[in-house]
Amino acid sequence: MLKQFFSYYKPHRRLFMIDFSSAVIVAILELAFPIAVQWLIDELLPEREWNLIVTVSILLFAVYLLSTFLQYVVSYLGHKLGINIETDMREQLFSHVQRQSFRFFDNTKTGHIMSRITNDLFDIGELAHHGPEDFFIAIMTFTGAFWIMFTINPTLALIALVMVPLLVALVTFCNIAMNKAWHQMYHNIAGVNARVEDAVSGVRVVQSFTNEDFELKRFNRDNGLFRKAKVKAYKVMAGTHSSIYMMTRFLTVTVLVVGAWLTFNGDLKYGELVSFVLYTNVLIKPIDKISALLELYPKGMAGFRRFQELLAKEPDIKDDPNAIEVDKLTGNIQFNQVAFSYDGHQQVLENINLQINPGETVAFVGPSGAGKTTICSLIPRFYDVNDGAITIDGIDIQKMTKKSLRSQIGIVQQDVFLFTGTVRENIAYGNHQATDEEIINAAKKAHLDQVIADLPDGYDTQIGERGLKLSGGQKQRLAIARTFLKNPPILILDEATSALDTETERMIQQSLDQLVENRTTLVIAHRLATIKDADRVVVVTNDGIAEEGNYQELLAKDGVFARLHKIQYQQNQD
Amino acid sequence: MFMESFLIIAILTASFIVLLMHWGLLLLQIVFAVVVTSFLPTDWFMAAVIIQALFGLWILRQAFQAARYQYQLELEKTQRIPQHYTEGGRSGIKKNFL
Repeated sequence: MLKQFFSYYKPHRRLFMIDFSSAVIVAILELAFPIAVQWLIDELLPEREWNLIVTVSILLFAVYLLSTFLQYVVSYLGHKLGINIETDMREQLFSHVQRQSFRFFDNTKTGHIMSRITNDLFDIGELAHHGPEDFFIAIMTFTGAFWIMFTINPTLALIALVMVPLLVALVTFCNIAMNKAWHQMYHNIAGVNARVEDAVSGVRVVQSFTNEDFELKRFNRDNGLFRKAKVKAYKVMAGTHSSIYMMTRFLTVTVLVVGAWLTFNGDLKYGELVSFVLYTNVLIKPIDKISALLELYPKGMAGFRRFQELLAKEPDIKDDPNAIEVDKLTGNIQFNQVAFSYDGHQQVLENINLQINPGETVAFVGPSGAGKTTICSLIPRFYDVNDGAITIDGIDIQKMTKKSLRSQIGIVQQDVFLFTGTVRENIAYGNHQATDEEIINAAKKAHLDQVIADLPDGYDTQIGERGLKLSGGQKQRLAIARTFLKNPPILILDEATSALDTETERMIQQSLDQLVENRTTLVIAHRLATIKDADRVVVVTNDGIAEEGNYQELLAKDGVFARLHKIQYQQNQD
Repeated sequence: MFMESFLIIAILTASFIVLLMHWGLLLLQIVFAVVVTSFLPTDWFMAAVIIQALFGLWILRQAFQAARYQYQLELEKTQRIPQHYTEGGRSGIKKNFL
């Protein structure tokens, strides 16, 4: 898995090399600086060579400037590297998710997908930047500092090293306390988020019950809990930083005292003592880095494994290697012995044989769960048939590329999904190359032009999240305009007007009548009154296609359709 | 030189034991270090360094296993692998890693 993880560095190896070499140079300079100070004190000062001291000091300043610049490079380019890898992974994952079939989305929670694409990748990005670099630099600095200290004076070096386990203990315990505090804080912010989401999404209910004060009270309670947890987290953080500061200063003082004693005895020079004190700081830094890395590594690698698992899920609907691009189908649809099951066990459709002629309008009616929507979902290959075949114009749909097949089919559903953006952008979703004139024309055909004219910014009006600012009928007309713009030869109307009131439905019906002209249309309808003009009605029951014929023929037959008609007629009378 | 090498390995081993949070073993390490440095005849130092080095390597291996445990725990908590360490509502958090 580590090998796969490192493969993501490949496109950014130049950036990695710059970042990594800069980090190594910074570490070397950090190790070299105390030696330079030692040399200055022990060799140059006794000789009283002022000119040389000034020259060396200027050189040291230059080295500091270089080190500062390289630290900037490490911090900026290192994070850039992490972000680049994170972005590559996110793009790869998003594109992979987009290619998945409906079955994948049926079985995967949206929250999980969101989490994989966002949160998991944050940890991976951080690990990509800090992981290899910090690990290498920490070991290099620690070993280097200790080795130099050991060569100067082994006794003092060992005394400094004794403090390391104590520092490790302190850092470990502080990390545990910090983790607990942050965990509580994240738990509480989740509560605040949920409360805000509830109150905002349900604002209509809140205001209709005049429960604003009640909601404010509940929000204040959660917000107060979050504040308390955050204050506690910062308290722990302050304690951690102070303790680590105290510990490092304690080490410095210990080294200073023991070093002074060694100096009195002639075992240590003044310069060596100063450099020793400086090296204690260098020795401590890596401990903090390794500790942070120990926390980041499991999170990042677990995130990477989840990322890989999702990426390994191959889409179950793929293009055949010899799939052809289709252009301008006439809409001659044929179902031959089609069988389908969602879960592989319970058959939803079995032995379905159906012929739909070009330009014909076929309505599908029947009880809920009989498979009407399933039949229509098989045509654009949202799901693949388990047995049999569906052909359009004599070509098996599995031999067509998904993209070209779906470009020939327009779908208007009961639940219209609109994207956050303007009216123009939402209509143009049907054809991104459409001109303004074509967009306006499509809106006119959908009887939406007057509605748009009344909007404050016309076509540039923001429709709110999921079209919240539009009524159900307006949303439906926008969806129809979008389909006019797509101009597909095959049309599927999946209970397009079911959620609308009778008045709005009648208005929408006019647009739909215009839309279906010269197209092969499949209509799934709940209200039988809306399919009176269909060329043919197919009655689907749990046993498959029960009846077929035009509206009047089926009524005269006095079968399933006539019974459904009678029930609806009675309901309307009531 | 043996004495210094022994102390370096002992101190680094102690740091890893602290990281693994096993106080009994830490005490054992301290006692061993004190005994070796204070009472052991010089002729035995070589053996003491070898024992300490082997012990240090074992502790290092335990540290890697602890890292692996944390990784497994993270996967379990995010429902990517079947529950084992967190079975029956357990948090999976260990007081020490040995």
